[in-house]
Amino acid sequence: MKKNILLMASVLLLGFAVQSHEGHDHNGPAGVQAPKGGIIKGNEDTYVEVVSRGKDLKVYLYDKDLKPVDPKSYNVSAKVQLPKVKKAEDLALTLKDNVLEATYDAKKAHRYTLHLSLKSPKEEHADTLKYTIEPKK
Amino acid sequence: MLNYFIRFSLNNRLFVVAVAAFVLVYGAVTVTQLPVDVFPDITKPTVTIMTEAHGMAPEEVETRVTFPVESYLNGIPGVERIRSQSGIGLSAIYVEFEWGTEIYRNRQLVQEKLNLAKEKLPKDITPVMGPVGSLMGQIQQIAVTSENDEVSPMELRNLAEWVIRPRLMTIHGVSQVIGIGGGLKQYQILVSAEKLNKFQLSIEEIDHELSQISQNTTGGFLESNAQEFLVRNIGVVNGIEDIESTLIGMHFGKPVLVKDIAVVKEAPRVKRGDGSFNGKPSVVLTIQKQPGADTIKITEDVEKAIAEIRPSLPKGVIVNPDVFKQANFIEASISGIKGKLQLGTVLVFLVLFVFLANLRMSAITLTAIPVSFLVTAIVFKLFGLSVNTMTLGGLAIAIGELVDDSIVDVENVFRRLRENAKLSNPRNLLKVIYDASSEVRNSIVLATVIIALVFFPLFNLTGLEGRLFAPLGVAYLTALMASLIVSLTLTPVLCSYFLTKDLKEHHDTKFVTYLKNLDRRILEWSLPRAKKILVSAIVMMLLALSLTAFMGRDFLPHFNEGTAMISVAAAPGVSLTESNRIGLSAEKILISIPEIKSASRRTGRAELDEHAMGVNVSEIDIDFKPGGRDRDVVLAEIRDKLQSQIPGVSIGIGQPISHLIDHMLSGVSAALAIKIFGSDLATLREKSIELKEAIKDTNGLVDLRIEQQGLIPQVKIQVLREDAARFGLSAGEVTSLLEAAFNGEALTQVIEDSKIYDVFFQFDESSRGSMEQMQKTVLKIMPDGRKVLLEDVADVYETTGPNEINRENGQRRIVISANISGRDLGSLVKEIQEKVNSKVKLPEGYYVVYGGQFESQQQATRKILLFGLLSLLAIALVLYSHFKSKTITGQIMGTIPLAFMGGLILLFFTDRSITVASLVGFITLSGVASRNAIMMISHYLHLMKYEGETFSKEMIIRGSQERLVPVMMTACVTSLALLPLIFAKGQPGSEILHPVAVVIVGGLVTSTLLDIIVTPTLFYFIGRKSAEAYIKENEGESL
Repeated sequence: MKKNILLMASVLLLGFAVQSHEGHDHNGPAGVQAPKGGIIKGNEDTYVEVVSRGKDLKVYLYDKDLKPVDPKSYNVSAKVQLPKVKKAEDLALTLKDNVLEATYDAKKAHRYTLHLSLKSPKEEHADTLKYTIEPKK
Repeated sequence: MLNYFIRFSLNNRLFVVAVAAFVLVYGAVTVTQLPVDVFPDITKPTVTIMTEAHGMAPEEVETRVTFPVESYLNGIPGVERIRSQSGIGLSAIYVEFEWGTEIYRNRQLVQEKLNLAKEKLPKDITPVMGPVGSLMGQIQQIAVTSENDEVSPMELRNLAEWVIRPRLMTIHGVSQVIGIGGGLKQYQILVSAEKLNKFQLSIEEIDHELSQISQNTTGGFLESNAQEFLVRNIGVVNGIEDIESTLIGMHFGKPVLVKDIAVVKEAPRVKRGDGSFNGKPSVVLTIQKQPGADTIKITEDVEKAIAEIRPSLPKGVIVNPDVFKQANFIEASISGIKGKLQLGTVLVFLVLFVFLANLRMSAITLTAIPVSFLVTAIVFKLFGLSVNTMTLGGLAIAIGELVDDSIVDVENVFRRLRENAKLSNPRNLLKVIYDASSEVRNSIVLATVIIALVFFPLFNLTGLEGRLFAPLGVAYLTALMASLIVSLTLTPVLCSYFLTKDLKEHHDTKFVTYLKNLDRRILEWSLPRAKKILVSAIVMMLLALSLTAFMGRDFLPHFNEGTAMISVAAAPGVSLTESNRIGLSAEKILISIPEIKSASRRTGRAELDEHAMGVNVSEIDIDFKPGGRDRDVVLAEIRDKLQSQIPGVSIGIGQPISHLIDHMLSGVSAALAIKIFGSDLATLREKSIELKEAIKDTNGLVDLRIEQQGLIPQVKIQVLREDAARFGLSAGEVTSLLEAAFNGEALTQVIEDSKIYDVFFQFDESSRGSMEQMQKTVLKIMPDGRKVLLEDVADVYETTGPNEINRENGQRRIVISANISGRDLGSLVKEIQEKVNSKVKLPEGYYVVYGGQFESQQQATRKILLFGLLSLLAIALVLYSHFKSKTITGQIMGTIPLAFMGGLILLFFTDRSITVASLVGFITLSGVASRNAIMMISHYLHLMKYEGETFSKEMIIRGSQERLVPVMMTACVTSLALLPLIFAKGQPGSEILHPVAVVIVGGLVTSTLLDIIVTPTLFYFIGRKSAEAYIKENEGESL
C-alpha cells in the first residue's frame, strides 16, 4: 500500500513538474523592447522573440539581459493552431545563423496561435509560450 | 542730395528741432505700446489637422485616415514637410510650410484639399484644422486644486470648464484654454448585458431607441384670437429621472424603461489624460495666446480675471495662476537687457566726456542715442515688430556706432569753427558748419552702406536663425540709419546752437595727449617696419584661426528659461491609471528636491489638445526657487533620481520653450533626432534598437531614447463574415453595434444652467470587463427567440499592435532622440555618424536622416558662409567704385579677417563653441572693422585734399592721431555697452546675445589695435600711389 502511495505521489509530482508550466502565458514585462521589433515573451531565465513576416517565422532566444543565447543548448519545439480548430499541428523549426526559422501557410486564416515549447539547460521542465500570429498584418 | 539735407536743416533749424522733439515724444509713447516678448515670432507656418477616428487602431487610422489625407496634401505649393502621428482613434497631421509663407493662405490651400480628401475617408470622419497657433503660444498654466475632499475632481473640472475657462476665453489675445485633469461630467447610461438578456432585448433595439432619447421638434403655428402661437413638441431630457423613465422596448407587453436595464449616473467621461499639481490631483489649464499678442498684458489680465473669479468659487478650491508663466522669463530677460542698455548709455556719456572733455560736444553727440532708438521704435510700430531680446540686442550692439557718426561730424565742425574764429574776417558760422559737415558726410555714408551690406547674410537666413537674427539686424540697421540722418540734420543744427559761442582754443585732456603721444611713438616705430608688421599680423591671424579646431559647433546657445520640462515615458500599452501612478511618483521625487518650487503634471492628452501624446507619457513642468545649487547640478540630480527610482521608464529633460523649438525643428522634442525611414514597422523597431545600442556609450549623449512606437496589447474582434451572414448580420452592422456597446456613444446633451453635458450610453463594466463577457454579448434576437452571441459571429482574441505610427513626408519613420550635455553638437554628431555607419546595417529601402538642431546648424552655417562671401564681394565693389583703387579696397577688405582674431581668442576662452549667434557676432565685427578702416583711410585722403598735406610719414601720424579719439571712443563705447552681456552668460534673455557680444568685444580689441598700428603702417607702405591718384581724380569734389 505504502509502495503504491509513494508511486502515485512520485508520478503526480513528476507529472506536476513536467506539466507545471504548460499552458501559462508568459508575457514580456512592460518596458522590455524586443530587439528585433517582434513579440517578446519570457520565462524564468529566457526571453523568446517571434518575428513574423507573411509565411515566415523567426524565433530568437535571449538571456535575461537580452543577450542572444545559443538555441542549440535549448530543446525547442513548435505547434500551430488555427482559430476554432481544437487540434494543434506540429511545425518544424530549423536552425540558421543562431536563429530558429519556420514557414507556415495559414491559408485564409486571419490569425493562428504559435505554441513554443522551450526547455532551457538550466531548467528541468519545459515551458510553453503562446504567440498570436496575424500573417496578413 | 546729402548736402541738401544738411543745407535744409541749417536753413530750417527750428523745424529740425521741432521734428526731433516730436520724434522723441511720439517715440517715447510708441515704446510703451510695443508688444513685448522674449524672442521675435519664430513660429514656422504650420497647419495642424486633427481627425478623431473613434475606436480605430493605429494601423487603421494610418491606412484609412492619415494616408488618404496625406496623399491629398502632397503637392500643395510651399509645403516643406508633412509629419503625421496615427494613434489610437486619432490622426494628427502637421503640414509645415516654408518660412515666410502666409498662414491664412496656407490654411485656405489645406482646407481645399481637406474638402477633397473627405470623400475618401470613412463615413462620419471629418478632418479639422487646429487654430492658428504660435510656437511661444503656451504662455501660462493654471492649477485648480481642492484643499479638502468636499470638492470632487469632477466638480473641480466643472468649475474649470464652466466658470474659469469661459472668463479667460474673453480676454483679448487668448486663443485657447485647454483643461486636463479632474473629470468632464457626463450622464452615463450603463447598460447591463445580463438584464438585456433577461428582457430579451438586443443591442440593435437599444441603439435605435436611445438614439431618440432626447429631442424637440416643431409643431408649426397655431392661430388663436388674432395671435400666433408657436407650437413646440418637447421631448428633451433634463436630468437623470428623465433618462431613467425613457422607454427602451417591450417585454411580454410590458414597457421596459432605461432604469430596468441600466444604471444612470453622473460620472466623469472616459479619460485619455490627467493632471496634477505638486503631487495632488488637480485640473491644469493651459492658456494659449493668439499670434502677435502681448504675453505680459495677457498674463496680467488673466491674473486679474482669476482674482475676480476667486470669491465666487466654493470653499477650499484654490486657483494658482503661478504654475508656469512665460511672462516671468520675458520680464527677467527684457529687464536684464534694458538694464544693460541703460548702463551702456551711461558708460557712453562717461567715455565721451573722458575723451572729449567738452560737455557741449558730449551732449550733442549723445543726442544721437535716444533719437535713433526712438526712431527705431517708431519703425518697429510701423512694421509690426515687437520689443524682444534680439531687437534690444541689436540696439546694444549699435550704441558705439550711433555716437561715432555724430563724433566725426561734431569734431570736424568744432575744428572748423575754431579755425574760422581765428580768421581776421570770419565766415558765416552756418556756412562753416555746412562745409564742415559736408566734408565728412561721404565717409559716414560709405561706412553705413558697408555695414548694411555686411548684414546681407543675416536677412537671407530663412530658418529659425533667420527669424531670430533678422530683427536684430533690422534694429541695428534702423538705428544706424537713424543716426546717419541725425548726423546730417540734427547734429549740425545742435552744433550751430551750442558750439558757435566760446570758441577758445580747445586743448586735449592729459589722458588724450598721453594716448596721442603713445600713438606717435608706436607709429614712428612701426611705419618703417611694414613688412614685419604685416607678417606678424598674418601669423597671429592664422594662430587665432587654428583655435577653431579646438572649438565645438552648436546651433544656438542653451536657453535658461528658469523652468524645466521633464518628460516621463512609460512603456507603450500601460493604462492611464498606471501612467498616472508613475507620473505622480516622478512628481513627488521632483518636489523633494530643495531647489524646486513647484511641479505640474499632464499625463496623456487633453480633450482639445493638438499635442497628440499617448497615455503612457507624462510631461511635468517644474519651476525653480531663486538661488540654490547650479542648475546643471540640479538637472543631473533629477535625471539620476528619476532613472534610479522609477525603473523601466525613459526620461527626457528640457525646457518648455526649447522643447517647442526642438519640436518645430525636427518634430521631436530633443536637440538631436536620428530618424530611420522605411516601410516595415518591425524592421524600424529592430533597427532603432540596433542604432541605440551602437551609440549609447557616446560621451556627451544624454536622454537617449527611442520614440515610443512599440507593441501594445489589443483585444481584436474579427468578424467572421460567413458566420455573421447566417444570422442576417453584415460585418459593418456587427462592428457598429459593438462600438456602441463597448466603446460607447454620446446620444444627446442635457442643458443645466447654460452648461451642456453629454448623455452617454455604454455597457457597464461587468458586461465588458473580460473577453469572456464580451464573447457572450447578445447582438441580435432571432424571430425564433434564439440569441445571437458575439462568439457566434466573431473571433475574439488577444494580440498586439503598434501604439502609434509616425510618418514624415509620406514614409513611416522611427526616431531615436537625445539631448547633449557637456559637449558640442558638431563633434558629437560626427562621432555618432561614424558609429552608425560602421555598426548599423540597414536593409534595402531603409535610410537614416540626422535632424534637430544639428540639421539647422549645418544649414545656417552654409547660408551664412555663402551669403557672407556674396556680401564681401558687394563690399569690395562698393569700395572700389568709391576709391577707384584696388590697393585701398584690398587693404580695407584685409582688415576684416584680421579683426576676427580677438573675437576668436575671446570666444575660445569663454564659450569654446561656434554657434549661429557667434557667426552673427563675426558679421557685425566685419562691419565695424571695415568701417574703422574706411574712416581712417578717408581721413588721410581728407588731410591731403583739404589740409594741404602731402603723402608723408607726418601726414599718416597726424591723421592717425586725429582719428585716434573717435576710434578709441567707438571701441570703448561699444565694448562697455556690451561688457554686461559678456558677464551674463546663461542669464535669461542674454543666452543668444552673449556669444555675439563676446565676438564683438574681442574683435574690437584687435580691430582697434589694427586701426592704430596695421592700417596706418600698411597704408604708408602701399597706399601712396592710390592716394595721390585718388586726390588727382577727385580734385574739386568734396570727400
